[in-house]
Amino acid sequence: MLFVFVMLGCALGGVVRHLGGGLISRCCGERFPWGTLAVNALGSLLLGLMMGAVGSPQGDGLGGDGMFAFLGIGFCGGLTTFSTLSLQSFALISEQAWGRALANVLGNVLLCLLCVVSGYAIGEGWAL
Amino acid sequence: MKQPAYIAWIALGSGLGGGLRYGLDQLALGIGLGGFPLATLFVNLSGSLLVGYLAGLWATGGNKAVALRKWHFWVTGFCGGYTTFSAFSWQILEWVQASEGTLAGAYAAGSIGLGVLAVAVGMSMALRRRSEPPAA
Repeated sequence: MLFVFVMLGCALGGVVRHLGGGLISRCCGERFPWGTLAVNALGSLLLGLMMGAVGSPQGDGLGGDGMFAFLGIGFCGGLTTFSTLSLQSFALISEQAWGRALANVLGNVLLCLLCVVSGYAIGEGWAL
Repeated sequence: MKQPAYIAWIALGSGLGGGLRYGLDQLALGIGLGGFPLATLFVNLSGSLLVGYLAGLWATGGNKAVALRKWHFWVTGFCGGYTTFSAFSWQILEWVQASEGTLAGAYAAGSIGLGVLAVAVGMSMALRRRSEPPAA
């Protein structure tokens, strides 16, 4: 059953990634992959919030309950992407746009780390 | 292609990709490898390899109308849902909190460096395949 929750959440996350990321790309231009950065940051923030609010599932790994399977593993996992980040970084490197390639890689890692930390701190405040 | 049709392809691909990611995560837990860092690294690198291969196969030339639906299903949907950045960020945070800064940095740099390399390998595999004469 958890499998179904993960798949549904991930299907929804993937669609939001495509629509939201596409919207951001159209607004900010295609010179830099802003769309991917935005969805990765949002997904990291949401996962952090959830981990802070419900407590991270320890020991036996993730996926203890349906809500976490749907939202955490499914939705956040589907909303964020690593493959597109790799592809876009590769494209920037191929163009020899070293500055943008480095900004893309560091921007994703650092901004998403900041988002997951902030999300966790906010989520902990919500937890009862 | 009409909006609803390609949304459905993305949803289907992403759902299947996420299901496979979860399945591999559970498998890694089951055989005692631990779910998080290794399984996430594996899906991210194999997804990057696949996306590089598909981009090499489809990104230039070919029938655009056919390729677009395949692109939505496989690249945006499947590879996007299969790989994840949120679990990656969470893993780095856990190591930072445990004062394992070096491990966190090595994991981040290694994942991304190998991810870009995997795209390059996938793409060169595709280009080699495209340059071969079609099978009779």
